[in-house]
Amino acid sequence: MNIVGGSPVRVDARPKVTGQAAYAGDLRLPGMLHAVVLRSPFPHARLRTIETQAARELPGVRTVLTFRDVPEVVFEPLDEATDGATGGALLLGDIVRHVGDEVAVVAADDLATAREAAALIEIEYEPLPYVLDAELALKSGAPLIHGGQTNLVGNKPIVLERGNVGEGLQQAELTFKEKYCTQYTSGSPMEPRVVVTRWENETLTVWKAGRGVFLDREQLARTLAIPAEQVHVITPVVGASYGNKDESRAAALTAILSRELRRPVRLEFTREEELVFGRLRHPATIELTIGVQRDGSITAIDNLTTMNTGPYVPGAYVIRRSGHASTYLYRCPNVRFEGNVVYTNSYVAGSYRGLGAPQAHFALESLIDTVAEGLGIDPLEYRIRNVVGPEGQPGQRQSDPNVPIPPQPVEGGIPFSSNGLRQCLEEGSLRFGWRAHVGSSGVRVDGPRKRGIGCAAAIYQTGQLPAEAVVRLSSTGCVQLLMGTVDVGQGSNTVLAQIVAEALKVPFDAVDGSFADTDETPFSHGTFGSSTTFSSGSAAKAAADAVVSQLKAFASRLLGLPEEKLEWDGSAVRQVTGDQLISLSELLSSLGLAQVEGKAQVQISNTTHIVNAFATHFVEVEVDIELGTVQVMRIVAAHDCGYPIHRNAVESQIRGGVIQAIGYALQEQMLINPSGRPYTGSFVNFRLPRTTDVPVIEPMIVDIVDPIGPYGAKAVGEPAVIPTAAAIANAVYDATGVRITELPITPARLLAGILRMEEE
Amino acid sequence: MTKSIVPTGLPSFRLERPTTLDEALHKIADGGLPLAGGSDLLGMMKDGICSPSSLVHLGGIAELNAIEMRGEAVRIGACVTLRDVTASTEVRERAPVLANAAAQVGSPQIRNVATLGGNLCQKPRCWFYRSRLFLCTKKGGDTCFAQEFDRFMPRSSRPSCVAAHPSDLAPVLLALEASMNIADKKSSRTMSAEKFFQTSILANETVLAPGQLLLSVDVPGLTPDQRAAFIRVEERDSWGFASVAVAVVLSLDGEYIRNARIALGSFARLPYRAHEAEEALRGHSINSPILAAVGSLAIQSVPLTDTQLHKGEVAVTILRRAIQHAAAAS
Repeated sequence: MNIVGGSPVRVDARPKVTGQAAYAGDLRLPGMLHAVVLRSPFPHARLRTIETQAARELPGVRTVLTFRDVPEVVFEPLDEATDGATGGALLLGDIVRHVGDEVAVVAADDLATAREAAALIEIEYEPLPYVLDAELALKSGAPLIHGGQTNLVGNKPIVLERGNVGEGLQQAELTFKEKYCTQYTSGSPMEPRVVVTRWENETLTVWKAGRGVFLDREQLARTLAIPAEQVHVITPVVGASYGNKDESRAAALTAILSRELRRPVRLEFTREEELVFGRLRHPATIELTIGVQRDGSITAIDNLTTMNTGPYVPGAYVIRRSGHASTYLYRCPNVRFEGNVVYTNSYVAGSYRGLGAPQAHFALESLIDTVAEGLGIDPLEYRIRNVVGPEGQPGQRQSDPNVPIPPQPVEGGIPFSSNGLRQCLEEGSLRFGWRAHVGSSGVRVDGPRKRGIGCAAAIYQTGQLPAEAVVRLSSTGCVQLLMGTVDVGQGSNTVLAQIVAEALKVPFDAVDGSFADTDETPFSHGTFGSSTTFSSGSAAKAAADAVVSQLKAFASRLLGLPEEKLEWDGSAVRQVTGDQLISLSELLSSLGLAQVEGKAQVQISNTTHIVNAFATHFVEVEVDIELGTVQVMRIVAAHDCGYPIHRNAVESQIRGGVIQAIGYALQEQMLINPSGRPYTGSFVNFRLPRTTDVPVIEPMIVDIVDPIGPYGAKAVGEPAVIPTAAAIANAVYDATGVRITELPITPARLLAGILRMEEE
Repeated sequence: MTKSIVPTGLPSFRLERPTTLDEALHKIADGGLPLAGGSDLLGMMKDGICSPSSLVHLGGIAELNAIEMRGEAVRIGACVTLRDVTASTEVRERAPVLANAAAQVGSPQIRNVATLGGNLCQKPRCWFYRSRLFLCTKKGGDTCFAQEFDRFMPRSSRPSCVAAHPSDLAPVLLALEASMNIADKKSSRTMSAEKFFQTSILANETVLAPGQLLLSVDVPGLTPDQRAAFIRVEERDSWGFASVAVAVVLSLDGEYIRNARIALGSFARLPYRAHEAEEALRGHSINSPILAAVGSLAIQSVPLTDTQLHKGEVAVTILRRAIQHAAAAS
């Protein structure tokens, strides 16, 4: 391997640092109008009257849309796992279900006029009973967000089971139990949600900051009741998605405006809208029980998780990722996960990097430290002995051996394609110097500052989604790569070009990629679920391989040699042993071809192995025990992401994930007043980590080449954000003796814990 | 009728650019709001908290933008940026604690535009006050949302507002016993920093009335027996507003405290001198156990909500540390 595994300068590096990169929000079309959304001030209300005349009459205003003017259609995709759940959001409805729910949209010649007009719309709301808290929403008598019998999504818990957890707990010699709580956080991409739409010749063109052009096209076509062929979605350079930016409600509303007004329309969320009314990470309460034998072996893991999803996103796919952590990270024959996703009138939670995994790992990896302490075993040693090994979970496979294994199975008896978790633990701990620290818990480093260390492991799926690619090799050696994949900033445009360059044995610079355009590029899944390198990368490689096979087949005929005696060297097809060769240009000109095209349609599915990524983060903190402040001093982040196609991009993903997770662990919380109104809608009070809050982060990629992934790659995007919070909580405990079970670990919480402990 | 939520942006306004102080004071008397660095006011306007029709830009007025010696005091114009306060030789030599405090405000970008006067006259950062979705007492409503669900303070003893005054420089100037020079179009006068921040009007944080402007601050230099320290604590490592800030000026006689001046910022509705704590320290050694006790004297009059309780612990701790730092300063 030559190009793959290196770190060529990313294709987006120069345009981004020179300011040349054009984001969706940079687009200015002639005659373009500006749209503004009017939002509900009530968590639950019926719209009694809407008076839009004053707004319409303001000079410069083109139109106002309310629920009366748009199709009555549920735009929110109901995911596969909702089991017939009611719910979903109307494009605009006469019932609003959270503060900030869309009520009307205004289009005007300029933004200031649109805002002024929106403020002139008079709406009489009839407030309805509301509920913000998930546990209260499950009580009888709670207001029902979508009617029916219950606010529980799908009307029943999502249960994942292996073995018999009751028996496992009976066998246990010791049982450990704790309840953990996590908060709302926002992904806070630098680029907010933004869309520009144009409706011309019965074709809708959409430039959208998104994460999947084909998903957007499908949603828009369905919402607007037009054929998908009439919808053209382009996602230019994206300023981060973090799995967010998935919905197309804003795009649908601007599309309707464009259709009605025959003018391009632009809608960009303000920072407040992006922070609060984008999609947040689900808050969770997790009641976790672990039963063990005195030798440390785990006999049972029982997890009851409740998540508040707000009124619209069913969220079953989110809580399933919580289940994966608690059922699969540790070797254990008896596990049970019960997940309750609950509709409320709180903020809309949705997809955010890691889905339910960060919450679940915070709980599991905190309690594992408590277990290890209870058994008198070093937490690292405990993990090395008890994490799931390459052979997978104990038990006999129950599912049909001919049926592909889902990315997250529950049953045992299925091995992993590769599992570098022990390497993460062992090699990461060596790099960190874990054993040198052991026994120095709570050492005073400087007056009131105490030092502590902690670690936490993680398991996460590698996304296996359908993808297509087209690769064209011209007679001059130029390569064109066409894929529908969206590079959300993680570097997939570079990685996919590297894979093609490697497969075609051409220089990296020879590959010119075109991406994320529903008219120009073939189908792709969206950029989510840590799937892009693995799934899109497999398609890119298959398409490039198809080019090579054709070249060899052509050459075989022309040279009269069998294909297996020939190899492609990047510029010519030559005899493996011998000196016969035919150059690319000769080959194509003799066939009268200008180029060779390879196409691939790939859905990786595997009937024998689980493809998972793994990680372990090691953290050193210093706590000022008089102030309750935590300073993260150092993080070693060891990852089994398979083989790193672009080492530097992988390390960047890890660094970025760790920074987000530091915010999750220590600082960030989206707060809501009991009236349902948000009050942390800016970066002043929604506290992202500053540069000065970020320690030395040492990414470490353990040496694993996965037999299934393209060039051995698996995944890293989401795993990077998953174990950190627990590792920090464990380090804080090591430093202070205070176990924080509620995120974020604020100075107020920690100081209260320290003072309570001193009193006891 | 409850208003729907509309995205906010900077509203339109008229910008006056006077070149003389007299002209500026007349514009302000006519209802224009003074605009210096704009780091607070423009943010308030963008967030939909206020929308003045006219702003009076003060950047073009020489006397507001100068640092000069007035006897033993350093006179700092209200429009001097925090960066220039930090960089000023006069300030660094005579009141290094002020230069040090100015260097800890916000970020380098903010310090490049934010001014001394703006820092002293800024509005609180209470999240409810800063949100247009909450009509709180300070904005003329009848609820202090920060106390709405408080489980700690008896309802009868609740103050009408618990927003903390966010200035880092106010406690430093209080402890240094600086004087404030203010003027309107008719007259000018000088008052102590302590007096400047004593207002009972809930909507205000200073005694400045409409039409009045803070022109400059006279900062007396430290005398050879004086030692000073400033400590602020915030939840992040930089770029945030302090959760508590303490400034201390000690007159020392060997290890004995002859006189102490203590001021707290970011803690109560207004920055204040902790006179009882100062008295308690008088005559004690800097190694006396009383250092651990004066903190509670310094904060006893400030009502704290349940969510603010830890700030009391933090204030007590950093006050002790500030006294120790000051005593150890050379």
